[in-house]
Amino acid sequence: MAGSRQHNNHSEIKPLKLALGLKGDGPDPVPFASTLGELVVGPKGFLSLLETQLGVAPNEVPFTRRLIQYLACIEEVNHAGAFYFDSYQADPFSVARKLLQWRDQWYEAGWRGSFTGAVPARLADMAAIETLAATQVASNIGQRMQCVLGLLEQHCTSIESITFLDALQHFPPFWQKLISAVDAQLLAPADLAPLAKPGSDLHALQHYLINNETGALDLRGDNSIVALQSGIAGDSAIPIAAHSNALLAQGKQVALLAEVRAELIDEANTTLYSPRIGLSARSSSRPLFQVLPLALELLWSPLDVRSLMQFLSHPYGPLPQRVRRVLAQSVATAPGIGGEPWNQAIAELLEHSEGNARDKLAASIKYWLQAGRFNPEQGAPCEVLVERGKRVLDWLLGRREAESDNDMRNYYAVAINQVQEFLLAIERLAESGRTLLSRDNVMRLVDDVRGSGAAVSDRNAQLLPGQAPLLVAKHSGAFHCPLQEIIWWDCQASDRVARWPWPAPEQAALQNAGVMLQSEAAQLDWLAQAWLRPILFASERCTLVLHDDTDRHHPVWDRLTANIKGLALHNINSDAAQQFLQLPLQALPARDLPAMKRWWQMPASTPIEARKQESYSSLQNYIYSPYQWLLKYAARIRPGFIEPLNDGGRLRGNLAHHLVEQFFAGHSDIAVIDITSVAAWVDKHLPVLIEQEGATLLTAGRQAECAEFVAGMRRALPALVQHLHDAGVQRVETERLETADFFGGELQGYIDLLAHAASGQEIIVDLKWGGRNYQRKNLREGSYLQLAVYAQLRESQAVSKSGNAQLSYFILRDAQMLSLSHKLFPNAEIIDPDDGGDWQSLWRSFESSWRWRKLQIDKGLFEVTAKGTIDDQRFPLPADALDLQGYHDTFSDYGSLTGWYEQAAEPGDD
Amino acid sequence: MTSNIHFVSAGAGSGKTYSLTETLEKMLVSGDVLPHQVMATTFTRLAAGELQERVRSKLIASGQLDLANQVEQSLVGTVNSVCGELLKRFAFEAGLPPDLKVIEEDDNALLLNRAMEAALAQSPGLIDAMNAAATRLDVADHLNGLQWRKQVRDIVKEARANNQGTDEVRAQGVASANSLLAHFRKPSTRDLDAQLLDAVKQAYVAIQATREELGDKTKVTTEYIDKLREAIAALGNGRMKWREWYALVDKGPGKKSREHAEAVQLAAAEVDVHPGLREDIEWFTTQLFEIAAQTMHTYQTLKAGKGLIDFVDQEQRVHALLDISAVANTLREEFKVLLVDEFQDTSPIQLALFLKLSRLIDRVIWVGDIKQSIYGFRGSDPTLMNTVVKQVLRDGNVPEILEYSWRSTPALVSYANALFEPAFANSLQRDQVVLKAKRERSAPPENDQQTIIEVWQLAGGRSLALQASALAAGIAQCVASDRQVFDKNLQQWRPIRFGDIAILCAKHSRLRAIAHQLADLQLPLRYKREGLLQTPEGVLAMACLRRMLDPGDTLASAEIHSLWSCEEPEAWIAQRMDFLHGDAPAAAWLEQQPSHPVASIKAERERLPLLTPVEAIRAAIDAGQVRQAVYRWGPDESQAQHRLNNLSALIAHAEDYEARAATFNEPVSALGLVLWLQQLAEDEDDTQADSGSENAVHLVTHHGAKGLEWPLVIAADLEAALKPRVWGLRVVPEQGEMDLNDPLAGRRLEYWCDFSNERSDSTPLLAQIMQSERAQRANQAEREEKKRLLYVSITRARDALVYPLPVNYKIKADSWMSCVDADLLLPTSKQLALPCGTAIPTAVRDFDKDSEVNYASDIFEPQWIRVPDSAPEFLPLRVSPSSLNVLGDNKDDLDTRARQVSTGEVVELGAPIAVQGSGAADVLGSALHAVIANSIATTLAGEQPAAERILGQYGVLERVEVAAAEACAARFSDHIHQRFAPLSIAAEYPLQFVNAQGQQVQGWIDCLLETEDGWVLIDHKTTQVGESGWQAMALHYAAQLACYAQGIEQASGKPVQSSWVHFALAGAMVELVI
Ligand code: SF4
Repeated sequence: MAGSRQHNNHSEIKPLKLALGLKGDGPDPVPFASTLGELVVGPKGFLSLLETQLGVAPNEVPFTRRLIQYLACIEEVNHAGAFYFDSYQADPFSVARKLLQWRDQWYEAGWRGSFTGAVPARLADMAAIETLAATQVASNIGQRMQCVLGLLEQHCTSIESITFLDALQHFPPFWQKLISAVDAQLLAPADLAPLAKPGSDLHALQHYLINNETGALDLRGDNSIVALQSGIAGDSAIPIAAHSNALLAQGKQVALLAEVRAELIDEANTTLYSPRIGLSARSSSRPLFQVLPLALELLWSPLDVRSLMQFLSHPYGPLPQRVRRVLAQSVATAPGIGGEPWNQAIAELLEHSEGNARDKLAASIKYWLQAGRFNPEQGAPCEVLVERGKRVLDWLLGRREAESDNDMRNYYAVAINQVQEFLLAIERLAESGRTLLSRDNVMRLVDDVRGSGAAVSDRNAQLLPGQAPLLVAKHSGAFHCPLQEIIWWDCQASDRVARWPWPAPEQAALQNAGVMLQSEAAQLDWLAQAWLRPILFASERCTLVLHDDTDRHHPVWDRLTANIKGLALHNINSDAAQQFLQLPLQALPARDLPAMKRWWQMPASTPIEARKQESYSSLQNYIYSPYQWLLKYAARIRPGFIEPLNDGGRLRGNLAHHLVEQFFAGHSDIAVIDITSVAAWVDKHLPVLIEQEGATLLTAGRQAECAEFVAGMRRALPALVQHLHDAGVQRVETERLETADFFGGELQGYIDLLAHAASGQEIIVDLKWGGRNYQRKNLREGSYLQLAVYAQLRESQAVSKSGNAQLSYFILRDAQMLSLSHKLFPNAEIIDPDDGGDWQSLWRSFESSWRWRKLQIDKGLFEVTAKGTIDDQRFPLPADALDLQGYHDTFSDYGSLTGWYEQAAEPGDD
Repeated sequence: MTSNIHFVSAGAGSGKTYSLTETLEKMLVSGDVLPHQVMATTFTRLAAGELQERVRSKLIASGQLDLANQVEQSLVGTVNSVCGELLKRFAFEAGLPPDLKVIEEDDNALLLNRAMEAALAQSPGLIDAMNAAATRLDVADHLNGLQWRKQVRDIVKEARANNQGTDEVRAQGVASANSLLAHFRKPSTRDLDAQLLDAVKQAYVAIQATREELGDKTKVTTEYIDKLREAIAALGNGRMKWREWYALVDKGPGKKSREHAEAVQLAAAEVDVHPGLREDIEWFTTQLFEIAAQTMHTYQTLKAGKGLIDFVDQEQRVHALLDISAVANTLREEFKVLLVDEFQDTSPIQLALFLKLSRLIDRVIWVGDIKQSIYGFRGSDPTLMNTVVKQVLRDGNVPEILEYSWRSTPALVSYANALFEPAFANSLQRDQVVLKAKRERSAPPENDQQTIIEVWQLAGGRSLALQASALAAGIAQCVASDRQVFDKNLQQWRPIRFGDIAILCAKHSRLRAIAHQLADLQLPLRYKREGLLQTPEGVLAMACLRRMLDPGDTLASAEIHSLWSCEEPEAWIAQRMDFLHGDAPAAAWLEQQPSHPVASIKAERERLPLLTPVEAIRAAIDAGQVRQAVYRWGPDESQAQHRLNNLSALIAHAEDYEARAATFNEPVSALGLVLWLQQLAEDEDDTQADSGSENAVHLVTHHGAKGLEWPLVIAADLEAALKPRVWGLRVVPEQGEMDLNDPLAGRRLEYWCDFSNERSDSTPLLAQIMQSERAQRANQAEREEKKRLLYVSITRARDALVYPLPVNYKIKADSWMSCVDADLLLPTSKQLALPCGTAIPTAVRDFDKDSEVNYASDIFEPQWIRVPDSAPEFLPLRVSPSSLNVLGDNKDDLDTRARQVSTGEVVELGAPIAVQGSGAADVLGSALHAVIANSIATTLAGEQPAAERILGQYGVLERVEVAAAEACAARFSDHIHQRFAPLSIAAEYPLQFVNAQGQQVQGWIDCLLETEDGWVLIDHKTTQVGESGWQAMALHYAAQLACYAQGIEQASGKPVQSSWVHFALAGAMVELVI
C-alpha cells in the first residue's frame, strides 16, 4: 500500500559521496574540511553504512560472546576423531578462539558455511561445527557482507560515487565483490606524482620511489627528508612532540604517523603542556578490570599475601577504600589474616559504625576476606565463583549508576561486560557438568573473556584555540592527500603478512567452495606501496624517527638506505638533530646531588625537643645513629605501607616471639612442662600463626624455607624449655613491659622473656632468630646494650629479690643459649666479656655516651653514621663511653637521604 | 643421509653474516628458492632481524623489489621463535592448544620451584630431611642455605636439554652416588663423633689454659677457640657439617698452642671413613634425582594447566612433531632451505632437532665455529657437536671454510694464528684455525710502529683498588696518547676514544669490583649492572610512584624533595619540623607548594584509577619532573644520559612485570608493580641501562664479549686459576660411535656432591678423588673450554690488545693463560717474534695508582625543553552535536544562535503510535529511524519498503506493529512532500564542519530536504510525549539542531530555511526558530 503512493513532484534522493580506503576506518590524516554528504570510510565503515542504508540492524556482538556461543557448538559435535580433539581437551577456549577466527576469515572471503563433495578431513570437521554455528553464533563480518549483498540485489543506495583511496584490486576479492555490487560511480585513485618542490631531495626521492627505481640516488642533504634515531621510544617522544607543536605554531600542516606506542606522544604532550592528540593505548591492565581477578585470588589457600595487599590497596574494590586502607596497614606489618593485629584493625573499623551498617560492614569484610578458601589445584565450586562474580558485577553496576561522566560510564561498561562474560562462561561450564574449577582454570577464564580492555577515558584530543591540530595516522597506508610535514615516529616493522595457516590441499578445497582468500603476494603488494605513502604525501618535508629498542626496523628503511646515498641518520641528541628540530631549549641549572657528610648542623631556629619517653630502639638511634633519631622521631619522616613486605629475618623473629609468648601463656608452670610434647605443640600452633601473621612464608616457591623455619622452632622451643628446667625456673613472663626513669627522662621497654628461678634469681632472656656469632661478639666486647637496658629497667623497679638479674641471649635458629658470665643455665655457652665488665659498667658507659651525644644535639649537631661517610672523631669520645668506632648502620630506612657517594669528595677529605 | 648438510666453518671475524647474506641472496635471485621457503635460526633476535635486513637490502640494491618485500615471509628467528611458529602452525597435530604462552627463561626457575613444591608435597617430611642433609653437606648458598633446590633445578634442566625421561633421571641418582662412593674406603665402626668431641673438648681446655698462661692473644687462636666452641655445640646437637670436619683437619691455633690441636686434626681426618658421611651422600644424591624426576613430571602438569610452554618444551615438541607424516610432508613441501647460524651454541636437544629437520629439507647449511663454543656451562656440549660435525663430514661433505679475517689487523691475525694453530691442533685441522688477513694495515701510515699488543703491569699487589687505579691510569694515558684506531664508519684512522675500548673480565663479581673502582676515578664506563633501584634516579622515580600510591609515605616525600631540590638536608629537615608545628596533617607536607613535584604527584594521584601499572610509573615520573631532575645532576653529559636511560630501563622493567603477569594470568596493579620491583632489587635483577650510545669504556665478561668487537680490547684476568668442575653435575657422553638418528642416546647425568666444600686434597679421600677419571676429564674439559674462551676474547680486538697483569706475575701451570703457549701470548719487550717470522710491535708498560692521569671531560651545561609555566586553556578537539547540552541546562555552553531559539509552527501528523512492553528505548528509536529512512528511500526509488524486515532485524516486532510503523513513516513522508516539495531528500546524511572555536564537529542528519529556498532540517525523536509537552521537549534539542543548521550552511553555502523536530511516535512536528 505504502509503495503505491506517488507524489506529484520529482523529489530525488540526495546522493552521498564516499571515499574508501583500506585504512579508512582509522584516523584520517587530512585537514578537517566542512562537507555535507561526503564521507571517508574503511571497509568496516563502508559495511555499516550499507547496513544503515538498507535498514539492517548493526550487529556488533563482542568477540568473547561469540566465542562462548561457538564453544557450545564445538562441544556438541566434538568427537575423538576430530582434528582438534586433543587440543580441545587441553584448552577448549583457545581451540574455540582459533577455529572461530578461521571460519570468520573464511566467511569474510566468501564462504557460505558448508562444503560440497569430498574435502580434507579438517574442513569436514569445520563444516560439522558450522551446521550449528551458522545459526547459533552471532554474525561475523562475512555473514553481514552476505546479507548486504543479498539486499543490494533488490535495493539501491544513495551512494553516488566511491573514490578509491586504494585501488579496487587491492581489496580482498570478496570485498571487491561487495563494493562492485553497489550501484555507484567508481573513481580510481589519482596517479602519484612527486609533490615536493622540484630540485629538493624529497622530490628526487619521491620520483625515485614512484618509479620503482633501484639504481643509485644521491641526496644533497637539504633536510627535506630527515632520519633521526634514538635509543628508546620514550626518549624521542618529548622532542618530537615539542617539534611538531613548534611547527604547528608556525602554521604548518603537520601529520604524525605513530603505528605503535602512540600513547607516549600524548604523555609527552601532557608534560609539555601541549594539546593532546587523543591516542591512548587499550589495555586490560587498567585497575577497574583487575578487580575481578583480584577478588578471585582471595579464594585460594594458602592465601597469597601479595594479592591480598593488592586487593586492599587497589584504587577500586568492593570494600570501601577506608576499610581496605586500614587492613592494608595491618597486613603490611603482620602479613596474614585473622591474627591479633588483624582482629584489632577490624575491631577499630567496626567501632566507627553502628547497628545495621556495622553488621553489613562486618559481613562484607568477612565475605571478601575471610570466606572459605579452596585448594587451588582441586578447585573452587562453580557456585562460589559465580557468587563472587555476581557480587563484583553488582558493585560495578552500582558504581556505573552513580557515575555521571560519560567516559567513565563507558569504562565501567567494559568492566561490566567482562564480568558478565565471565559469569556466562562459568555457567556454561557448570552446565556441562564441571562442578569445580581450579585456580588456573579460573584465571584462564578471566583471561579468555578479558578482551583488549579500554583506553584511558580522560585523554581525548584537544584543541589549542587559534592553532590547527596535529593530524594523526595509525598506519602508513592511511595517507592519501598532500601534507606539508609528515613525521613518521617509531618507524619499525610492526605489520607483516601472515601466512595462511592451511596447507595447500585445504586452500584448494576452500577455493572450490568459493572462499576467495586474498593471496599473501597480493597483500604484500599493497603493503609495499602503503609503506611509501608517508614519504610520498609529504610536500615539504618527511621526518623518520627510528628507535633502537625495536626488534627490526621498518622495511622502508632498507629501501631508503640500500642504494640511496646522503640520507644521514642523526642521533636525536646530536647537534645536527637539535639544529634541525629547533626545539625551544633553555638552560637547566646543573645541580650536584646532595653530598654525604658526617655531620648535620641544624639551624638554631629549629630547636630539638627532648622526647617524653624513649625506648630501647630510640635510644639506640640516639647513641649510634643520631641522624636517624632526628629523622624518625623529631621530623617524623616515616615510610608508608609500601615497604617491602615484612619478610626475612625480621618476620621470622616476630613469629618466633609470638609463638614463645603463646607457648608460655599456656604453660605457666614451667616445671611440669613435658619437653617431649613441645615439638608437637609447635607443629600444632605455628602453622596457624604463620597463616595469621607470616603468610609471606606460605607464598608458592617458599615451602622449603617455611619448613626450615618450622623445623627450627621445633628444635628451639624444647631446647629453651630444657634450659629453663636446667636452671630450675618456675615461672616466666613474656613481653613484659617495664617503665622507669633514667637520666634522659622516661624509659620503656619490653623484655622478651623474664625467667624466675626457684632461688628468686631472675634471668632476662632476649630472643633472637639468628646472628649467633654477632651476639657472641657483642657479649664478649661489651656491646650488649639491649640486655643492659632491660637489666637497668628491672633494677630500677627494685623488685629483683636476689640482686641483679642475669642476662642471656637465646638464638632460636641454632637453639643456642649464650649467657653473660652467669652459670644459671648449665648447658649454655658462657661468655665473659674481654674487659671483665658487667652490665652496670655498660650502663654507665651508656650514660656517658648519652650525655656526650646530648651535648652535640643541644648544639643542633647530628652525626651521620651512614656507610660512606668518614668518622672524623670531631668530638672526642669520653674514655668510659661505649665504643662507637667503625659503626655503620646497615639497615636504615633513610639511606637515600644521607647524600650520595658518587659525588663524595676523595676519602679522608670531608 | 646427511649428505645435504653443508657445513661452513666461520672463524672469528671471518664475515659470517656477510657470507650468509650472499648465500641467501644468490639462492633467492636464482629463483631456486622463494623467500617463504627459507627457514633460518640465529642465536639472538637481533641477529635474526639483521639477517633479514641485510638480505632485503641486498635484493633492493640489485633491483629485486618484489623479492625484497617477500623477505618478511621467510621463517627467520631464534631456535625458539622458529619452534614457536611451527608449534602454532601444527598445534592441532601436536595436540596442543593453539595459543600457548611461552615462558621466558627467567620465569622458569620460579615455576620449577612451584613444581618442586607440588612434587615434595607428596612426601611429607622429605623437605625437612633434605634441609637437614643439605645443611650437613653444606649444599648451601649465601641467601637462604637451601641450595639443594637449585641442584634439583639443574638436574631437571640438564635432563630436559638431553631429552631424558623421568625414569632415566631416577636411575642416574643411584649411579651418581655409587660412582662417587666408589672412591671411599670402608666405613669405620668406631664412634667418630665421640672421638672428635673428646679431642675438641680437651684441646679447648688446653688452649684456653695456654692462652691465659702465655698470653696468646693472637687472632688465629681466638678464632680457633671459637671454632672449637662451635664444634662442641654442633657435635652436641648433631648438627656438625662435614665441611666443618674438614676445616678442623687443616685449621689450627697460633704457634704457641699448636700442639694441642694435633689430636683434633687427627680425629677430624677420620671423617673420610665416617659412615654418616657415606649415608648422607648416598641418600642425598638419590633423593635429588628422585625429586628431580618427580619435579619434571609436576612441572609438565603445572604448565599444561596454565597453558604455558617453555623453550625446551618447544624443542622437544617439535622434535616429536617431525615424526608425524602429515607434518613432515607439509614441511618438506613448504621449505627448501634450512640455515642454522651459530651452530656451535646449540644445546643437545636442539642439535637432535636440527638433524631431524635436515632429513626433511633439501638444502641445509650449518654455520658456526667450534672454536667459539663457550657455553658449556649453559648446556651446549662441544664434544657432542664435534662428534656430529665429524660424522657429517665423514659422510662425504666438504666443509666450506671462510678463510679471511675482515675484522683484525694483519698483525693481530698472525698473532692469533700463531697462538691458536698449535693450541687447537689436538682437535682441528690447520685450515679451520688459520685465517688470512683482509685488512691491509696494522697501523696508520704515519704511526707505523704503533704497538699491537701490550702488557700492562699494574702495581698494587693484591689490592684490587690499587690495581684498578693503575688500570685507570693506563686507560687514561692510552686515550691521551697518539694511538690511532680505524673507524669502520668513516673508513679512516682517527685518535682513540673511551668508547673504542673494552675491558673483558673473568667473572661478573670481578667486573663489578673493577667497575666500582674505575667509577670512583670518574672514568666513563658502561656495563651491565644491577642496582637500578639504588641509583639516585631509581630512588627518585620509585619515591614518586610510592608517594602517588600512598599519600602517607612521608619518607617518599622527603626523598623526592631531597633529590629534586638537592638542598642540604638540614634545610629541609628544619622546614619539615616547622611544618609539623602547623595545623596541616603531617603527611600533607610539601603538597601545598605550587609546582613542587609532590604537589603534582598528589594531583596525578586522582588519575590512578585509570592507569595501568606501566602508565602509573610513567605518570609518576612525569609528574615528579624526574627526567629534568636527574639530567641536571650530570656530572657530565654521558652520565646524565645514563641517568635518563636508567629511567627508561625502569619503565622497561615495569613492562616486563605486566607481560609476565599476562603470561601467568595474574592480576596486576600499581602496588603489585612496586612490590615486584622491590623483589627484583632484592634478587639483584634490577639491571641498569647499558646503552651503546655513551662514549665510555665498555666493561663486559669474556663470555659476554662473544659476537662483539672493539678497536682496543683489554683482556683481564688471564692469570686467574683454572677451575675444573670436578664437583656438581656433569654430563657423561656415551663412549663410542654415535647414531646420528639419535644423537642423545646413552648420555648420562652424574652428580657428585661437594661435601668438603672444595677443600682440595687435604685428606686421602679427597686426594684420591682429585686423581679420579672424572676429575681428569673435568680438568681437560676446563682447559679446552678456557682455550676456546681465550680464542673468543683475543679475536674481539680489531686493532690492538692489552693484557693487564699484576707486577711480577708468574706464568703458572694452572692459570688460564697456560691453555696456550703463554710465552708467545705475552710480549716481554718491544717486539714479539712470531714463529712465522713476522715481528709485531709490542710493549710492556708499568702503571701504578699515581701514574699521571689527565683527561678532561667537557663542562656540563644541561639544557631542557622550555615548558610554559602553566597549561594554556584547551578545548576538546571533537564535538558531537548529539551530545550538546540541551537548552536550559547551561546556556553559557551554547552557541549564541542556540540561545535565541524559540518554537514556531506545530504540525500534527496523526494519532500517537502505540508501543508495547518495555525495553531499551534506543533500540526502538533506531529501528523507527531506519524504517522512516527506508520508507523515504524506497518510495522515491519505487521499491517495496521493508518495515517488517527492519523491525524484525532490530528485534522490536513485539513492541510496535508493522502497520503502525509503516503508517508513521508514511504520514511523515506525505507531509514533507506536500509541505516542502523538496528537490531532493536525504536521510541519515553525514555532515562535518569546523565551528567558530576551530573544533571539529561531525554528525549524522536524520532528514534533510533540499528546496528551492534552501534546506529544511528535520530530526526524528522517538520520545513519547503528550501534546502539551511538544514545544518544551523540542526546545531541548535546540542546541543540536542549531549546531546542524550552522554546519549545513557552512558546508553548503545555502541557508537553512527551517528546522524541525519530528516526534515520530507522537505524530507531530515542531518547528524551531533559530
Ligand atoms: S663470567 Fe661467564 S660464567 Fe661467570 S657469571 Fe659471567 S657469564 Fe657466567
